[in-house]
Amino acid sequence: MVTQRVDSNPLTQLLVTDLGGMVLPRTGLELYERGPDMGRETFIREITGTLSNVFLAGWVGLLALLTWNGKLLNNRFFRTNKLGINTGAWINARSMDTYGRLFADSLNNPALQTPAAVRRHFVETLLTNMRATDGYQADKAFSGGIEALKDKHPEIAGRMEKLALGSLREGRLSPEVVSQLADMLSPSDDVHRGVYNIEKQIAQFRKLNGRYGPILKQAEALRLSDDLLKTLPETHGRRLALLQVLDPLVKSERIALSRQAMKSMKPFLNELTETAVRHGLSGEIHVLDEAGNAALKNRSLSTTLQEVKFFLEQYADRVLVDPKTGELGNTPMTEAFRRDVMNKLYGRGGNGLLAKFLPTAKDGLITFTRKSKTWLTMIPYALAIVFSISVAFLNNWLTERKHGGKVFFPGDGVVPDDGKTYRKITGGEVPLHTRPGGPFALFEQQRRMTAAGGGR
Amino acid sequence: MIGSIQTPAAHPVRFGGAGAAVVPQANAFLRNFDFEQVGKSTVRQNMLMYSLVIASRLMAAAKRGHEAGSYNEVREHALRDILGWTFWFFAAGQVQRLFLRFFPAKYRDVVVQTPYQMDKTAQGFWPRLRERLRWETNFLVRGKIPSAEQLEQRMGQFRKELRASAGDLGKEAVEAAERDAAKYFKRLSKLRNLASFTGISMAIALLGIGIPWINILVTRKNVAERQKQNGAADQSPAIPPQSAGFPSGAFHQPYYPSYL
Repeated sequence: MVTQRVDSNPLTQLLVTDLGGMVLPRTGLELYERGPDMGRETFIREITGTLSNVFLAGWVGLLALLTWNGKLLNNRFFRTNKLGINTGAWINARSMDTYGRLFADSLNNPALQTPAAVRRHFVETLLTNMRATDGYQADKAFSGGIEALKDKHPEIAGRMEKLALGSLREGRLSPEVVSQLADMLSPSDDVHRGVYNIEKQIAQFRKLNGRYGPILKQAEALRLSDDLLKTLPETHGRRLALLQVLDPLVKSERIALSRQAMKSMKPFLNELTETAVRHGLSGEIHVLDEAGNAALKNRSLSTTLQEVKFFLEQYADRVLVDPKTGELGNTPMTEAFRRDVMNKLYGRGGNGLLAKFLPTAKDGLITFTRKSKTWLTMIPYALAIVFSISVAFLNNWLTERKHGGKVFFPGDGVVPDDGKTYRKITGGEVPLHTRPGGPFALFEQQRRMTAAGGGR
Repeated sequence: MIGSIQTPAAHPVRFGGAGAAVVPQANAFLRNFDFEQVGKSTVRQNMLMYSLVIASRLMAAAKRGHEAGSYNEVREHALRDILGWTFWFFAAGQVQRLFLRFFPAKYRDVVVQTPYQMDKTAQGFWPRLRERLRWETNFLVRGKIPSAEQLEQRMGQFRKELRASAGDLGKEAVEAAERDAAKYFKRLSKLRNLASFTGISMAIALLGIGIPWINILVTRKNVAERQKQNGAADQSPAIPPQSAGFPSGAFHQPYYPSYL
């Protein structure tokens, strides 16, 4: 149904209300009542309003994002993406705050000994803390449904009443479903299912390329023979040369892997969402923090699950795994390890003014992403604002130019009204409210009667 | 060794609190105006953007009005855009709740969730009235309406539970029960759609017809008055006084600027 479609997406609702309530009727009314100048002005004003209010920020944001990860800003001379994070796997800032906090909580929980346990606990806490926004209504709807069955199907209604529908009625997931979903979200080597284990691929990539590929290229460049190279000691200089070649490669590889995982994630995410919906959640959810307050409000379930996948793929797994193997370790974590993980996520590359605003290679992953995202959000926004602010002035300029720089707001013109151009504005010959059958006809009739009676 | 190079150990993070990790939050700009999905602006962004657009329109209108010596345009923008902002973002939901308020509680309370739970043990006229008023205000201002998708999902869950619990009673019995339950859920979703249609069409009517009409009429009155004043000064009225707008032609007033 049309209403359903319009209502399900706030952006569509705004668009429909804008086109139907602002652009079309206002243009028509102004054109009919106050002439072509006002009609044109209104149309330009409202249609650019639609564009800038509803869409523009999003579109320019998309463009900025493509540029950010693309070759234009991210090449060997000018590198915006210094840590190899796929910013296209977008995580909203508030979501990132919440996930980061829950993750830090799990990490610093002394009861959790291994990285694998930390990851599991994080995912399970997050899923347990999800609440459908319509929990209360679900309860009422279920009672209503049972009530509707009572007359004709008393036995079924009785059975339904006895069922423990706890999690369904409260709009949350039961512990069994939580662990089922957490299993689905475990690291996987398959691009199509689970959370793609990028780290494992990277470890293999390093093994393949680090030992032979770039080093051989360098050897070629330096005209060193392979045998000679192997006899060289592991000097600091050699290690540095290796890293200089390998590092950008690894970063591009990370982004490429993440993009590959994004391309094929749809069926898996659908399955994840459907499982959650079958067992108590619904399309819109809140996420509670550790104190039980709503940290995230009115989020789409599928987007949130997608964000969780991105967070695990690019942040949690990247800091938790052993970089040599790319697997989650099963040995107990030391205090130093926990501190290191926190640094890798939240560390700050410096305290200078520039380092505060510009992402640097020394930043922690989340800090880096935040800085990048501030630019990625601010720049499109500023552009959209400049565009929309200039429209009002442009509009006036157009009218002014048409009338040789003299006429201003029709009716307030420097050029006196000749009684024809703007006659409707001043209520000239046939003002609208005196039209027979018009909305103000009765009012006008009364006025005339008062005037005819000698009145004032 | 190599792994540690990609994220070199930075300055230690300073965590406050004893034991529990207090992690830094994103800046206020990001927390409020970040995208939720790539390429789609959020409602918060739209709100800020529209208010900036309104500010720019007011500025442009004030500039033009200053040159023309009239503030009709500023007044028009102020009324149209500020009411427009409010109605665009809030009218549909508000009208929906108002509309649903008049339906029986059996359906209404499933479709609108009121955050305030009425204290039914209150005794006496005034306490009961107070509770009632609180509930009504909450219903109208903060009532939460689930999306059509959510209602459908709840129906799916109910059907699943019904099949699971009554599977042994035979296919026909289950199907008959399902049909009866579906009737109830369909009624809910119809009511919701009707409310949403009413809300959106009312918002459109207010935005598209109500506000511009007020503007046109008020400006017409102001301009006519002003021309009458000018005409009296020049002894050459642009328009005969009896054809002017709202105020009667015989009604004389001292001159005052139209924006007062």
